[in-house]
Amino acid sequence: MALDDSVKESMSAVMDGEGTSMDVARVLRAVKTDAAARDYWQRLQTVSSVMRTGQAPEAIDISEAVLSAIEESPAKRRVGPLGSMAVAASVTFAVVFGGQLLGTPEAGLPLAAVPGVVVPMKGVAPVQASYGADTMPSAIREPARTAPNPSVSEVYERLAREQLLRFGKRHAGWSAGVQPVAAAAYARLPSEVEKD
Amino acid sequence: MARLLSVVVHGALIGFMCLASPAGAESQDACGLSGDVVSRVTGMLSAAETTTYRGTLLVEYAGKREFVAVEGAGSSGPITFRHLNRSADAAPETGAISRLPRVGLCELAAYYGFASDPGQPVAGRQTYRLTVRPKDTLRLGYVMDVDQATHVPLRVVTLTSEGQLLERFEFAEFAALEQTPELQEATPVLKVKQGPHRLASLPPGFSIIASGHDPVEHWVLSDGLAALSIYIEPRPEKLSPGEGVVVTGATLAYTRGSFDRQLITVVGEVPLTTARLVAESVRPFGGQ
Repeated sequence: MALDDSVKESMSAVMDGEGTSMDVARVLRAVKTDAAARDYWQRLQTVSSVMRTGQAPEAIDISEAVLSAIEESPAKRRVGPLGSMAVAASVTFAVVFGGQLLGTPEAGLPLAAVPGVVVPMKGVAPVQASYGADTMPSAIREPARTAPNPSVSEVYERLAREQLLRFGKRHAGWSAGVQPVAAAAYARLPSEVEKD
Repeated sequence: MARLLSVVVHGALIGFMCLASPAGAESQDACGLSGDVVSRVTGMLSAAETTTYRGTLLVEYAGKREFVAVEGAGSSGPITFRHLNRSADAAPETGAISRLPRVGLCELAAYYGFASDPGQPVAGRQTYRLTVRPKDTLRLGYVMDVDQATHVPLRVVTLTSEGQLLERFEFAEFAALEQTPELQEATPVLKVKQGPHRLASLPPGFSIIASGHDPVEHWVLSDGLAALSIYIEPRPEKLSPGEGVVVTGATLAYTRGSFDRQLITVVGEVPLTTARLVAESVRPFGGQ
């Protein structure tokens, strides 16, 4: 079945970061019910990836898993409009980007190419990935998306920081067991971390 | 009009991609990796468990830059660390290392791309470069300069899947010690005990490696290179539903107050999308 132009238009808008909540809802509905829509969606991302990295990605489709997550989402039943939008945006992001290979298995990420693929990301300050002296990572704070008002947003950001202090060292123990440099898990702990 | 033009442009590019895409990539050795990459990745993963070392680590993240003296005994731990710029004569602290079940290289290769190149000298030692690139945006990537003699990564840059720099670690000085750590048994994969909650689904590639109820109900997930932990508590009555996140280098803490009165916190070296998916999957045990 041919894909409706309005769906294509919504997909393009979402991919360009100009999608409205209606666009997001339309895309989610189409991806959920229409294989052709999923296919078009993935091809859009392929184009996006090539434009960003110059490499043709190989498809890996996790959209079924993500759709399953949507099906089971309590937000579908219980959260208000703002929460639903946030969940939709989050899941859309996963559908759009999470299911795409970003390179061939052996393609790697040549460091020389890294500075060229720095992409703006909401809430973070882009920096170039190189070993130069002036490329220190910037402070990153991603804004909460569901907060109905700024005070709740601030409360949760503060709470997240407190939770990091509370659980950080415990998590570092697990993280040190899998990270390439075990010491890194503890080296980045905030100074006010809880003492176990 | 602009949106219609965007559709046309995207459609044209898709058509071009269909014509230009190769029929298929040639398969290589095991899991699509070359023999050289396999041996280097395997060496790097083994070194993390077996090499005892002492050194000074330069750490850069979130606008901070500090030196940390570290001494570690592979994954048998504990690791000793001292933040040299936080206070004078800072006392050393120790941290446990939970040795986790090793994930097979092919399982890793399903979610990460690996490449090997010549490296740059670090701390006066010769290295090779391992580039670990995520194949989706549910995990982070790494560019590592790995010591040729011990296979310990001496410089690690952590990046988002789009190449955005999150943090950098680099040994200013490094010495491998003769002592060989006693290998501990890997922490067994724990069966999830029946508790108040369950995880309805997991992000692709992640599995549950631990769970417990002390100090609060929690799970630990890993894909073999990244770990995240989830903590569930009752949401205080006075706290409205909402969410917040802080990112410290590669580590993210995401807290969500749900409408069913739960306070869910995800801490891990993962993108926000992954943390949200995991928080979304928390369900009351026996619920839908």
